[in-house]
Amino acid sequence: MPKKQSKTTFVDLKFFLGLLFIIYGILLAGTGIYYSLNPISGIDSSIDVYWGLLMLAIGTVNYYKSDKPSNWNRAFAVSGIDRIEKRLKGILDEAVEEV
Amino acid sequence: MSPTRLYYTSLSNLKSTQGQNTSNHRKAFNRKQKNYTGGYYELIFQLTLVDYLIIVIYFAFVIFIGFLLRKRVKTSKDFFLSGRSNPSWISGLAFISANMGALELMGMCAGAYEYGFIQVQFYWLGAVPAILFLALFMMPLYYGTKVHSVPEYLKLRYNEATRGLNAVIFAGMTLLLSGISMYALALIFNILLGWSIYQSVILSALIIAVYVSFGGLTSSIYNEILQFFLIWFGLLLLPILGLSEVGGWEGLTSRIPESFSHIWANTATATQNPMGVDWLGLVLGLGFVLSFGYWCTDFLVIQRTLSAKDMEAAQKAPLIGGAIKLLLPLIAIIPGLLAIVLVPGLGEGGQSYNLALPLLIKHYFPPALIGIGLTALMAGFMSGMSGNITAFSTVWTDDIYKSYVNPKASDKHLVWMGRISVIVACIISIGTAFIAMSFPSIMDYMQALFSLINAPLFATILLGMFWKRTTPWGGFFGLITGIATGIALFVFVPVSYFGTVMAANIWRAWWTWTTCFLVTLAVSMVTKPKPEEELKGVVYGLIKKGEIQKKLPWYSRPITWALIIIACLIVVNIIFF
Repeated sequence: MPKKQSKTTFVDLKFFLGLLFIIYGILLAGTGIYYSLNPISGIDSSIDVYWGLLMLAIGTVNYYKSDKPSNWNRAFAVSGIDRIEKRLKGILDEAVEEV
Repeated sequence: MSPTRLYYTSLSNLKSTQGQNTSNHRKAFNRKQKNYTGGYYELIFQLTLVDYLIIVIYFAFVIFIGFLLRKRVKTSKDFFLSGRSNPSWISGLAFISANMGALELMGMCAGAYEYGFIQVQFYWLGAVPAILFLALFMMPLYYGTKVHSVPEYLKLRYNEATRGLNAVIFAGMTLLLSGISMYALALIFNILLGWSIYQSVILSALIIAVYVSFGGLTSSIYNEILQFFLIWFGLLLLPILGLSEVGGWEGLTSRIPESFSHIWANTATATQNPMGVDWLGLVLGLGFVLSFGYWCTDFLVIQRTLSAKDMEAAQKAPLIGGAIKLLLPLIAIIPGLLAIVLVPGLGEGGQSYNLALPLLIKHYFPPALIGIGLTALMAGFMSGMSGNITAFSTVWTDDIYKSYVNPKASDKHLVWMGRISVIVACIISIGTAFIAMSFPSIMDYMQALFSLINAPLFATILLGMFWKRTTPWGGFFGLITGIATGIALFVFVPVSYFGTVMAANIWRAWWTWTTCFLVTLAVSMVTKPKPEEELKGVVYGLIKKGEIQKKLPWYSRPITWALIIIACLIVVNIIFF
């Protein structure tokens, strides 16, 4: 039992870490590219691009090594999206049956 | 008094009353600095939309993780010990991350700016040896006895009175410390972003209350690990960019005072080094009492190791933490030295040494990276705060509420009480945050607390773990006398007697430890010890080897890992002697 739990913790953490780093990597690299195209004096945006790409790479590796479906399902369950989805599906099924 | 002004009077006084060593070193040095104009650094950051977005995403993530973990927490073991299910790397990162809050990053950077590279002794002398001792000798007892907390261990080893005394004092201390962290975080919001200090305190309390009350220790550990990586990614660029600008380590040491680049060479006498402490004071006070007192007895960090899935992971967790401590100077000490060159004059014009790190972030980071850097700083404070809150919640629920208020409480009720205590602790911390504002120097106040509470506790636990003749009442009276001695020294002996505030804290810790040690010995000689049967598994000599630890290959044994860390420690001490 403890083994199973620790594996869950491990993949969960990879998921969260991966997702956060992907978001931050995109934001950093995107900002760096934006300032490269629209340069402002005194701002060296190349660091943003390099560091952003590094975070993006690390985030992507962690994300793909994590238990994505189960975490997304849990996230949807918390946010209530899954309930909305089920309800919509129910309405659709009913509509199909009626038709 | 405006909050900003309050900040300067509270944090800028950090060790400003200390001996003339530092100021003389610095004044002479600053006069030589060509680019030093004696100016006042503008600190409010001009944040872009993307910087705000990065900060908001971080807080959203932290709260969301708390919500996600809510359903997983079913028993008190889940809530207070994360189900005892974590692998060593998770417990190890959480172990070190819980300590990286509460002024650690800014304080260490400021210390390096003020005292030079000798500040690294707080890591290499003041942490790593104690962490190794914890892993090799104390974890088999803490983890092997299956206790929830350090006070519970004291009950097993000594008696209910010793446990109660420690639990009440520790609970009070964690509330004061979490208030300090909360205040420091609010100051970051206030000084760097210009937000109201009152709203900032309430906002940080609210965030911590939400994610810790939902997920307990698991949530706290998850966030501590995210925070750990954020801190590294947010701050690692500073030494990289800084060292490349000043010409590497050689270039850096050629541009700072000579005494600022060594860790042992100038410690023959206290007056030779900016810290004002000689090698004996460093070894006895910092390297032994303060360090071992904190790392081997403070439940805030030990709780993370107790969440490990087995004995092997519980021993390796501190070892991983110790290895990281060896590397931490890269992001906490080197930036402080770089700041001496790049933002000279702090500590003289009314601006605090604590601003060294934020000013470096402002100096180097473009938009977006500033957001990451600030988020890293905030994450550091959050991890310290959540560490204190979870430790308080466990000690309150397990060692006070369950023991004295409601012994028949069900497991479900204890989880509920744990959640309530998190919320109450956050509310009380708002109060203690405002108390913290009234103290002239937060960092010194924290060190004084450790010298009063952790130092004598280390003597109690050391004797209890390694000498079976130590008696229950020996432990109790030793602990109470040690704390009383510390309070008496704090109140009646002026700092000037010791020379510097740092020296006062170090020597006070030494005397409280010694008093506790001697009184415990003396009382133990005249009182009745516990029967050996009751001490099996609780005292080091009475553990059956192999009973709690499976045989491991040589390369996986904790002792092998510890020896590698010791070798690295010796090497860095020789290189930077």
